[in-house]
Amino acid sequence: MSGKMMLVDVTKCTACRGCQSACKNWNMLPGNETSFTGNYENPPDLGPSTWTRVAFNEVVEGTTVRWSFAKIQCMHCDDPVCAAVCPYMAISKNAQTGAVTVNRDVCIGCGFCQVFCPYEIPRVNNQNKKVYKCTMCHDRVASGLLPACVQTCPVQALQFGAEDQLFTAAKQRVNFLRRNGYPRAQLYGLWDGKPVGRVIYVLADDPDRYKLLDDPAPKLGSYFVEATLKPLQALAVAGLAAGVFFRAQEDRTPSGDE
Amino acid sequence: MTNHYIDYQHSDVILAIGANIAENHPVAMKWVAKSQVRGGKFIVVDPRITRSAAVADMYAPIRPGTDIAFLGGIIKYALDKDLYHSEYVKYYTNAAYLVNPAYKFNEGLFSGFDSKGYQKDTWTYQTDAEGKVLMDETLRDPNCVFQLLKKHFQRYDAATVERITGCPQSSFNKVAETFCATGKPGKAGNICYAMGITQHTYGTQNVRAIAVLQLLLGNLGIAGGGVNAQRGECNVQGSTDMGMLYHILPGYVPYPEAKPHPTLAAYNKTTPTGGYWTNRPKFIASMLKAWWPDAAPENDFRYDYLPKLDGRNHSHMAIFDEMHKGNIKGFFAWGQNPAVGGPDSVRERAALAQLDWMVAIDLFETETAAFWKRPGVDPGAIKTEVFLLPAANSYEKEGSVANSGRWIQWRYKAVNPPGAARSDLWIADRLFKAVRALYTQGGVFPDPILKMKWDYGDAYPDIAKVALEINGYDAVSGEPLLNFTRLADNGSTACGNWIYSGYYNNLANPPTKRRIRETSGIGLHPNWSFAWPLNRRILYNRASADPSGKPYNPNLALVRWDGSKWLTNDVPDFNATVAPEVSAKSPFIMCGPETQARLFAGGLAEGPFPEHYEPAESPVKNSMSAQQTNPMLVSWAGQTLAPAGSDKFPFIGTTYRVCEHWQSGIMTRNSPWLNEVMPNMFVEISTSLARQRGIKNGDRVAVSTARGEIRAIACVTERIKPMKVNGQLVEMVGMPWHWGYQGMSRGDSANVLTASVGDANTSIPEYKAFLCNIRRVV
Repeated sequence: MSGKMMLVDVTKCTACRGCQSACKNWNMLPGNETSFTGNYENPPDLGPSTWTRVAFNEVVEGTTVRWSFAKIQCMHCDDPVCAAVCPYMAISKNAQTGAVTVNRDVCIGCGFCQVFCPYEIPRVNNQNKKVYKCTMCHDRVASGLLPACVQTCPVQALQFGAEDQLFTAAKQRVNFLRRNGYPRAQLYGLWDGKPVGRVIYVLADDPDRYKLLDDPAPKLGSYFVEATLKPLQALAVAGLAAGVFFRAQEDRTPSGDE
Repeated sequence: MTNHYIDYQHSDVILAIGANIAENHPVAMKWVAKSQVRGGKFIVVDPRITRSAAVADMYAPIRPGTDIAFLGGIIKYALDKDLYHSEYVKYYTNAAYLVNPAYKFNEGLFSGFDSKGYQKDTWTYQTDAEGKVLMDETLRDPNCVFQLLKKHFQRYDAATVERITGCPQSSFNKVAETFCATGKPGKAGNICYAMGITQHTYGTQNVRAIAVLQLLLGNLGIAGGGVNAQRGECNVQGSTDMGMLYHILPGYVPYPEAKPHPTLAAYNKTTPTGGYWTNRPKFIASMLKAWWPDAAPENDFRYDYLPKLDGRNHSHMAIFDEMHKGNIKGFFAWGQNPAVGGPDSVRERAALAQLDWMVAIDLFETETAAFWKRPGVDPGAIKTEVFLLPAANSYEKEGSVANSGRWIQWRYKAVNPPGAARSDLWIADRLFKAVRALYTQGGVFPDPILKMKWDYGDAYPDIAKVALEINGYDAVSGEPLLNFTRLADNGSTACGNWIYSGYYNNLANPPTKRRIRETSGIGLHPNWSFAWPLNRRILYNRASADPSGKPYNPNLALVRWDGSKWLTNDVPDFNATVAPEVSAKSPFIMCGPETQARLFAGGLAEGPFPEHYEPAESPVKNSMSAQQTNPMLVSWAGQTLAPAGSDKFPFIGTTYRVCEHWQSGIMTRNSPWLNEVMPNMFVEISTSLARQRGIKNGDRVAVSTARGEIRAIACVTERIKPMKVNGQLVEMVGMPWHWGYQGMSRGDSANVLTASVGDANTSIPEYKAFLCNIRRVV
């Protein structure tokens, strides 16, 4: 393994959401109109102008109430399904930083990536028909800076550094937690024991406790794409399938989100 | 605070009570997390599961307003189980002092109470013929402080704690056991608090309870320990340091009273007779010299120019009461938004209409600035003339900021302020010059204004000149003073604020501007900025070593006696030129005349030991005594309060802040990014209260008190549970107080609900506990 990686240690996260605001600040994304619906969590979903968010989870276990938080953003997969399904090859993995980014000059907003991403990350802006998602602040990283969310995290629940080093630190942290009252502590974002991409999580409990998708199968997705979907891309280019997928993704995107 | 934020990393146990670090001091959580990674335990005691409690190792619920019962229970636990630091208690506190045998405590009242309040003449020590305090170093005399302390807190057993606070005994005992383990020499326990402790009618005694516990456990003066007040606003520490409160001059020098202190000599007679405060005459003489350059012994240092107190309360609530009565004509709301932040804010908004004029100085048009056009008010019916001056924000001006750890850090201007906005210094400078110009044409008493030193430049005022004046200088040569040890009481030195002396002691590279990272090995950062006093990072650090000068924790040594001299890592808070046996008797030099820390403190308004009383509005009778509330609490005529156990207002109300907004919200509610994450005013209730009132998560609700009613969105949560108090289940409605009728995100203000009642010593309003009702609205 080599390159940079982000570690999300949710056991340290206090849900201050500095990461959410720092992301919008650096990437010049607007604040959305939201409303309080009975939960601190907001915005309610990712969107073209919300590339990361913290999920709040209130769990009752007997007489104990656990309030836990998990930051959600692009995993920057090493074998990104979103890139594989893109008919215009608008999505690519940056060899230097490991970031998976969208070239919006090429993107037509067909929404394939949004539909096929196992983590449900990319989001199409319905106005300009372009897809948006976390860039791992590859512009900052290329200049030797930390991603904006990592830079702002006051408790170092977010760390960014050499892959080998952080992977080892994450495993040590899980062992510490298992010995200190969290027997179900585990890593998240692995496939076959190895990181799926450039983001791994330390969890104190099972992923569903954090509203994280349980056991996504990105490699299988990629295989599925290679075997069955590639031929369809030609149709998409011709604009036939694109219309179908436009409707598909419009159904998925709440009208309130931009 | 006695310590500083970075020092939290060294704590073996951190107890946050009345503080929500993760949401209100989020950056401080970095150091809490570091302590936890080392194996330190983080305990949160709070009425609800907060985002701090979410990452805590231990959580204990507590009914708002019952901190003394909770802390008193821990004090008893430490005493009963011999977990206190006996050597520390014996040498470094007043445990051995014999108290006046006439001192008594009965049914919630201390001796000396009558209809006018307390006569404190029995809250004193026994002395011999020469006035020397009598002691019993065996700590066995029934009248010694230690035995009286034991007797007083004997009543706070775990069952009583549960009955009053609603905290189950099992949770309480776990907290007490974990925290009292820091009584072992070499262990460090840290108590952090904030407004959850202070904003009560007995807030000062809440702090006292923390101090008593920390003294018993030997947690004061050591790295990783401390009584750590987390200040709620950037530079609020600086504002109290600089004497922004009505009863203190800069540097916590008490304000003179007109009648008892007609001359400087009369004022100086009140100087403490022991400890470092014996130097107080030098501090006030130098301050007067800084303000009026011709101050000299012959003219009593221009003491008659200094405004004096008239024996009355002039705190926030008193000012608004006077305003309401029409006794105040003009008002500056300078970086303050009382229409949202003040208690019983409907009444405070109405009081503003009694003014002839008001000047609001702020970044945005605040609710206070816009009170004359607030919803439901006819602007034509308001006679007050309102001026709004746009102010520069912190990145648009230069100056120093003092943080909770007393570090005075210099900040540079990053960008110019927009439009006509100006720095506060510019506004103050222009204002003073305009007032002085008017006084040249005459006035009732022009001299104090005409003769005041005011020489910060003709164009834009020079902040370096202000800083030099605060630091102090030689009155003849004008050279900066090294620090306050150079101050004199003969007019040869000028110093605007003695505790800041040393922070700007040279113009080339003043200590406040230093930016050298850690050099101490234990995170004191001694060459990063300047900490008052004298760049000392941990107050009372003599107590970190035993009487012979051996550090209790050699890994975190602050000072050490090597057999012939003191080796110091921090600036010593004692005379380090003498042998340890001498300083062992005076480890608390600011605590004069004893110079030993006070477990028993005779100076406060309502008693020498903290005693549990109910909040001014409470759902229950006080089960400790027949004295329902603090007998010395302050309140004003016309304030409506619900009776104890009110049927009309059966639930506890409490207010707090969230991470995403700040204070009255005037800065944060004008940021779309922050409004996005926390968009509306809401109230938090338990699932059982929600069922009882037919409220569903996300419903619109109305919350009412004897003062007013507000609308909000309900947040029904498992994080709040009803509490069993005195056999009855008590429900709570919790709410943030950030909203108002101005800005990009608008909502009702929680302070419409709170009452104008306050702490007996400080007059801080009781924002944290009141009675309310809640119902669903369509």
